[in-house]
Amino acid sequence: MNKLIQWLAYGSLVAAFVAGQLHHSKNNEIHSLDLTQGFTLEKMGLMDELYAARQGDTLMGYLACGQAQGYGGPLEVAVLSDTSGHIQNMALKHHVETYSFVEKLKANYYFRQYKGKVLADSFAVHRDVNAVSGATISSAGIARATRKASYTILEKGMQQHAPEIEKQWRVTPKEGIVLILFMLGVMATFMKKKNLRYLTLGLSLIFFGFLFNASITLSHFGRILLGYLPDMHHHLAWWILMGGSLITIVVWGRNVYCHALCPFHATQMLLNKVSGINMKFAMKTMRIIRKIPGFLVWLSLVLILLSSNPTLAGYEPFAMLFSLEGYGVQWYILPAALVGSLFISDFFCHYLCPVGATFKWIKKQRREVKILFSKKQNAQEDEQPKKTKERKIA
Amino acid sequence: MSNQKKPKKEKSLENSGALVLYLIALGTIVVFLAVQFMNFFHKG
Repeated sequence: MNKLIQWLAYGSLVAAFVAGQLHHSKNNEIHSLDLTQGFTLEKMGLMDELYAARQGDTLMGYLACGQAQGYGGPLEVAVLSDTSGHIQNMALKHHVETYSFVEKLKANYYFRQYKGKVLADSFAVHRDVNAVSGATISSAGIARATRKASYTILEKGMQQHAPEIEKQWRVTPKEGIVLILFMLGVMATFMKKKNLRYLTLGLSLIFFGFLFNASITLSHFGRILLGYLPDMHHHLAWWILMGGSLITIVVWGRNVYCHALCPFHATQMLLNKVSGINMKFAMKTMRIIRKIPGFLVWLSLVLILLSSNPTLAGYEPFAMLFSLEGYGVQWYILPAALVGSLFISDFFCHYLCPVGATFKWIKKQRREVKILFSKKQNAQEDEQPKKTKERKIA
Repeated sequence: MSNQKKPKKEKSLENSGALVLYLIALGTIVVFLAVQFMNFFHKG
């Protein structure tokens, strides 16, 4: 029965993914954008989204689309240029970015600065383009997407040479701190030293929590499932934390992130120490609620895959606690989780967290694969003496 | 006798308190996900 439920859950996730992809391609029409009004668009390239924008028979300019990764997922822009190589207008065509970041960009009139820019600009943030503070990654993502669209117009529309932009690694102190903390977390887990673990948890509360707001959330897994992997050159910290956590689980079988690095885990430990109370569930109840995080992960993933938006179903209160970002009902989850952790040890981690549940699922799969391999090996070893016996008899 | 009963009572009180806290937190999450589902289907 359990196996059947499991396979039904996997099947529904695949179905949600397929439906999401079909829905996404249907809603991604260029003609619905405001900046295309008044123009007849004529498709130019087979592979690229490049159009000649005409009014009657006169060529007025070109329109192209470009895509780059933001904080939560891809950002796609449409750029309309005139025939002299200047941007006439641009718009965010489609995005699965965190809602609050896009709102910040709109409120700060971020998109206006692109009007009149030369297509051959490098669109580098802080040099050619101003970023909006508190939404820097989204600002940089849109700048890169605009550059891609502009260079497509230059090269394929106007048959001109676009400048070559070398990909540079974005290495800041943040990346260094993330790497050092991750290594400390691995050491704390390997050496089983309580004090070292408390130290890494304390540091992660400061850095991963309040300073970087870089906790792993379900949207990280959603991005992987949807193929929205962030560019390693610009999001090295994401890769160190996410890649490192996954590798340590798959190769070593230990969940370093939840054990020694999660800033929300650190918060809960502190709260529980403050109250000194540790209420416990009845055994019967415990058996049921242990299964709830898995169900919540499935429900959230269905929504993420259906909407092709990894940030839509993130119910974790991490961002709300560390950077006061959240909307609507999300604000009720944070106090509920914090009050719970005052009275129950690791309340959110053990009984509600989708990240912990996902890591747990990966660990379970690893164990099952390992058992399968050892069974095969045992079967082979059992067969060998039989064969040698048969040979001797022969 | 009363000493034996007291811990049991306390335990069940503790268990129900924990369950109430859990149900409140779970309720907020379920409502949040339901709202997100409704928003998604409403926008189409």
